[in-house]
Amino acid sequence: MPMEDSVLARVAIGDASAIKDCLQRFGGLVWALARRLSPSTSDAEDAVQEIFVDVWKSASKFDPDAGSEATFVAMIARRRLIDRIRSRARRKEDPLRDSQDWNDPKDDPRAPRGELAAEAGLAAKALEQLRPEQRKVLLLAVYHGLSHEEIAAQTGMPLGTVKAHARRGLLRVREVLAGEGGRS
Amino acid sequence: MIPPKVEDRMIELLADRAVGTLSMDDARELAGLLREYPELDTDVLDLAAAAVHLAYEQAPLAPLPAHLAARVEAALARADVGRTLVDPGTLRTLPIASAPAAPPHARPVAASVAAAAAPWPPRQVAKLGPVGRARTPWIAYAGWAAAAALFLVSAALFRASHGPGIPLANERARLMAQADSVQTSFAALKDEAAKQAQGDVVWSTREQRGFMRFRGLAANPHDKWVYQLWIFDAAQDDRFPVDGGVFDIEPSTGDVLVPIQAKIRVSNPTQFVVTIERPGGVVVSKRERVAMAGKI
Repeated sequence: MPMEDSVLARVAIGDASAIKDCLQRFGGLVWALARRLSPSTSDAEDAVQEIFVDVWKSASKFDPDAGSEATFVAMIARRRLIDRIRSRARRKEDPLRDSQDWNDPKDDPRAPRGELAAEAGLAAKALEQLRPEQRKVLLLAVYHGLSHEEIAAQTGMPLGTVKAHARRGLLRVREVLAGEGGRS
Repeated sequence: MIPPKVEDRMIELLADRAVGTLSMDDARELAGLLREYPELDTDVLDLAAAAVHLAYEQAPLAPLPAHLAARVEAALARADVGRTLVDPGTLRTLPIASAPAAPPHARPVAASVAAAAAPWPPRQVAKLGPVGRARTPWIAYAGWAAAAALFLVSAALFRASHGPGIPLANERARLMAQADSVQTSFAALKDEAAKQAQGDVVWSTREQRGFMRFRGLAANPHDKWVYQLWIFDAAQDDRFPVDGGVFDIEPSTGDVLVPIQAKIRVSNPTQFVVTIERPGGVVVSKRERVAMAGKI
């Protein structure tokens, strides 16, 4: 992405006009993440507000060599959402999470559509190179937000195996992404 | 150097953090390890997890609801983070001499009238964000990568240093007047880029901010090499000086001010050194080209 198009670079200098552009470019992504990892719509709305404040504060940390702007924003969003989950200590009784279909067909990652295609295509390619069980664990842990214990219960894998798959899977994704030129 | 067993443990904890399964006890352990070994890049696995999430986010994204977008916009505008908002139109039209809210890559402060009247080239505005850092393939030792909390502080300071109505020259003068600030002159070393260069530096440890000022330092071809500042800290091993930020020098006959962007806290600076590195900067400098240095 040419630096002229970098919303985060403009956010980093406090460019007032970047607020609308930032919301327009990443609003849908953050909203999707927040709804997926929040127990209610109102909670998701609160999370979105906090996430964008975090993005505003952290924009100058964005490293174009480490990943795309969308990946950076998604990282900020996930951190905030995970913090909120932990602070609520609701993992067990989260109604949104309990309603998920863990055998979601998304188990087979494909190149995503729409505005995330460019950013997530490489990640999908990286996931395709994982062992099926590693991919399954990452799907449940990262996308569905299940704990290791919940994944072990869902899949029948030993807890230690789940942890190992999650860790090695992430490392492998990182390796593949780095091998693609450092872009994620 | 992180002992291999400690590194394995840190990676395990960072992986747990990335997928959201870090316990409170583990979080405390990780925080302690990161304080002891700040050189480990703490973002890589979080970024990998974010990339995985994006890969699975296949449904077309619904836009942010209008009421929520308005709420977020209002929150950003009234929050502290909004206080330094810059109107880019103002940035483009103010004379440089009176509003040197210059990019960190060295916008000339003392510029000609013609230059002052000229609009800011879009490229320069766009480059105000951090310059990319070189990474090793996966769990790169980012040398001195900031811990998250420290980073938020530095990010806020970065923005504050570019806010409206806070000319860099005034900020530099204010820092120089601080009782705790340290100042020194840069000596030009043998590198061709610095053969006609003069410079000085001011640093406030209390505020964790500072400025370099240069005259005669050669403009760098952005696609070939950049300047990078290193801050030697008495509290750190001299082999691992603090990364003070990457910057460009544009062609100029006047003084050029460059805000310092230390990646981690500097406790007791002893020396400021400017090296020449590949575009994007480096994590560890081989110190093959050293342009300028100033001892406190």
